[in-house]
Amino acid sequence: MSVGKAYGLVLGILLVLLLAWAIVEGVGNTLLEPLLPHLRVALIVRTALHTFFENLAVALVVCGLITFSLLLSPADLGGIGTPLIRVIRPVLYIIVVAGVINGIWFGVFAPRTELRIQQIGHQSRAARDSLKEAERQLEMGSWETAEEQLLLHQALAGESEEVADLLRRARAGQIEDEQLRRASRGPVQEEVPPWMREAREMTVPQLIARAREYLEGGDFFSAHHYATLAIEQSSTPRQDARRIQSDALNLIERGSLARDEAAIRQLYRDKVLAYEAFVQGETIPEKALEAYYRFQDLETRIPEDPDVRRFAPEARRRAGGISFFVEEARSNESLPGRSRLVFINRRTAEGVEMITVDNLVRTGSGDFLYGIEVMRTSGRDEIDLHLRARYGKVIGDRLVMRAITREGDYREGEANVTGPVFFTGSALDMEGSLVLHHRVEEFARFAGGADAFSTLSLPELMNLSPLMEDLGRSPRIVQGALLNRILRIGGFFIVTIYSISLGWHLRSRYVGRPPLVVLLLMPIIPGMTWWIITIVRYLLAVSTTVLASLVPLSAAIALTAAGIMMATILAMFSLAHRKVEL
Amino acid sequence: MAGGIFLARGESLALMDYLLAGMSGLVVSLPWLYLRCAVRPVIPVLLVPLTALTVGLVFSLALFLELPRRAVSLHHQDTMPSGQPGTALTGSIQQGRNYSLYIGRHTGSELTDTILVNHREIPRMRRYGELQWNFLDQTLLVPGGVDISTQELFAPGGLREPMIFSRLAEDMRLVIRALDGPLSSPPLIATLLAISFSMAMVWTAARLTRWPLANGVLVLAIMVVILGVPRFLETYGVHALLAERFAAAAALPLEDYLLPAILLLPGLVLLVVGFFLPRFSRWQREMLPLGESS
Repeated sequence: MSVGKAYGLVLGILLVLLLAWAIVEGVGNTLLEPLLPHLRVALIVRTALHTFFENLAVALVVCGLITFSLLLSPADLGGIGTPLIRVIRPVLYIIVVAGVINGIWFGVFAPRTELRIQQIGHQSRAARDSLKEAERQLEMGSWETAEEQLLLHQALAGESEEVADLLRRARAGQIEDEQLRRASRGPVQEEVPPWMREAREMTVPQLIARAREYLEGGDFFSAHHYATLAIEQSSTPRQDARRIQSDALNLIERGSLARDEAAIRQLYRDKVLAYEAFVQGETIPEKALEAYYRFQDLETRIPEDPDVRRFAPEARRRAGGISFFVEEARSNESLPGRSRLVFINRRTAEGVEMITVDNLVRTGSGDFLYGIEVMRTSGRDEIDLHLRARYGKVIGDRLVMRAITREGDYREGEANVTGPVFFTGSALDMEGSLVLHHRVEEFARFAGGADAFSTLSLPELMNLSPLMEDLGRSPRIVQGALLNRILRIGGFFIVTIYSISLGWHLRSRYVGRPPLVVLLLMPIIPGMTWWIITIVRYLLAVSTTVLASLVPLSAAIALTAAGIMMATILAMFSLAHRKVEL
Repeated sequence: MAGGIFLARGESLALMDYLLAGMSGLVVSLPWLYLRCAVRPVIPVLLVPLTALTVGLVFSLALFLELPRRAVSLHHQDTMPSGQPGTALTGSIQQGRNYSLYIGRHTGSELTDTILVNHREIPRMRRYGELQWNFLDQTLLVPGGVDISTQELFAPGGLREPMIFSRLAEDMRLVIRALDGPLSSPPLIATLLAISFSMAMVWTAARLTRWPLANGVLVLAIMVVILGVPRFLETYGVHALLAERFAAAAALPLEDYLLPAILLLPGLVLLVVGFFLPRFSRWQREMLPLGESS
């Protein structure tokens, strides 16, 4: 059998076995973790790919060891005295192709796969937590919060009969509460105004006298009413009452024009109020939100009004500067993002301002943060500010944690606003929003700890932020991760080439096939190869972290690259000086 | 090793792991040495230098046991009396899977002005004016909370330790613990000799077949098994069980000698296997390429 065929055959078998193992592991992982059903296949595929490429180098090393130490005889390699390197060219081609694929995988695709695996985990956890929270809220009778949580669960996990039942329960609870509220007010009785009760007790002359008074006083509706009552109560025709009734009616009809004027006056008054709120909104955020809702109301009533057309978009823009729509935040909540971010936002002489974010979703319409917690300290035990907000949006250089509903009435003190909950301090300590001292891409990339670094591609890792230390992160860890990634890509060539040399050096000295008992040792080879490579990888990773702390990054990269090149040359040299021998 | 000591100044918390990493590297390299010696021995009586080498290894293990303590005491001398804070952790965030920790100042085993983040609790953040770190138990002591493993927060380079490495590290720890004590103690000498003997006799496996690759892999596997003996005894309670059963019949304090006795077993088995192997000179002739000789 030729070298290329033997190597290809063994590699094919090993890759099939590896793929099977990767799939089994992928399935096993999904069984261990409570996952959303529609994400199960996605996780199996990604975990299997991750495992496959993680162990691709091991497969090639085992292939080199077994092929050259057991399968190939000197005759297969061109006879005694032939330089080994001359006959293994097809194998080297396979190694180069596999190495390039391995490099592209670890440089670009592995981080994306890792990120997606983490996101699937987060999505499943968020869905599970929202369902649990909804059930808790249902037990407590907080129907609206429960409905909100159930809708979030539905957005993450899709529709299910169980959740639909719970939603029905939450909505039924809300209706029941509303009915109870109405019932507690007692039966609605037709309220009769005192003046009407009084009118019923009056005599006809009294009614006529009162009607005349109203007519003279300009209250034509009342005059008409009293005159009508007098005509109804009188057993004889009363001309004076009829005259007052007709006069009042004439005057009412004449006054319809005046009524239109009143409506215009009311609209004008509303416009003035909206404009006043708009002006005050420049300095008071609550007024800006009031102006938004007032102009929104005017837009529906008088959409063609030039003042409304001019100021409504401006009010909307201003509200958008200090808040965001809760509907928008909710609709993006189920999108994949980066989770568990922790970073120092600001350092002062006395303390720090630290932020944790459960999840960050970056969309075309903005960067949305979920589960934000902020702690500002000063002194040894002092906490100046500690808050938690459910939603946040980055607007300019500020983290806005005030979410408003898209539509709603603005009434004093009853704004449709979801804001932060303060454990320590108050809204006055943060002026409505928080100034972010780092760009979103910086903390999105570097604030997730070592787990997050594995989700960064090689170019992203290389594009190191000089503000790493300001974020509270050791640049050494990112640098270590970068060097480790370079080693992962370059090390592939070293171990796979060296495995050929080692395999040939430690080849079987049996004439023909070794005894069956010896062949039974073969399964130990992949196991122990994996064991050694895993341990050596870890040791190298620790070493690169040490190296990163000792020298500047450029020097560390140069040293690592030089190390890889030297080791590859040594492996090639080891191959080059081997000849085919018995 | 150097890395371990270097980082001990700043990140003493994970020092033990660095040391164990260095030792595991030594273990991985041993089979290769055995294979080289098996084919081209310096002198025909191979067991002598190999045993010396192994005993040297075990002594160095015992030495490593002392190093972390020395490093910690050095670290304390550096920082505690002067009250100057350590620099590597000061003002930094350490992040693990479930916890993150901001350290305002770091002085010896005392962490001050800290903010602990529990990613599974609301509120997530808690402020602690002072937290103590227990080096020996490798835990961060949280008042009124669960103690957190330092591996969770201070893993070397933020890397997650592979399970097989943790297992090997644990094996190493237990071997070191078995060798902890005054060097004049008879049980300690017995353990030292037993483990040296077994490790040296692993060399027998290096010429078990005429396929050196399989031999080398076997050598490594057997060494890993020998190192795992103390863990096996502890995990399954075998030590206590045997001591209880044979205590009455033994004149010696058997419990102290059970571990060396069990560690001796693999070596004895390999010694017996060695008697059935072909003569060394014949095996060597078959193994060396044509034209080469010892």
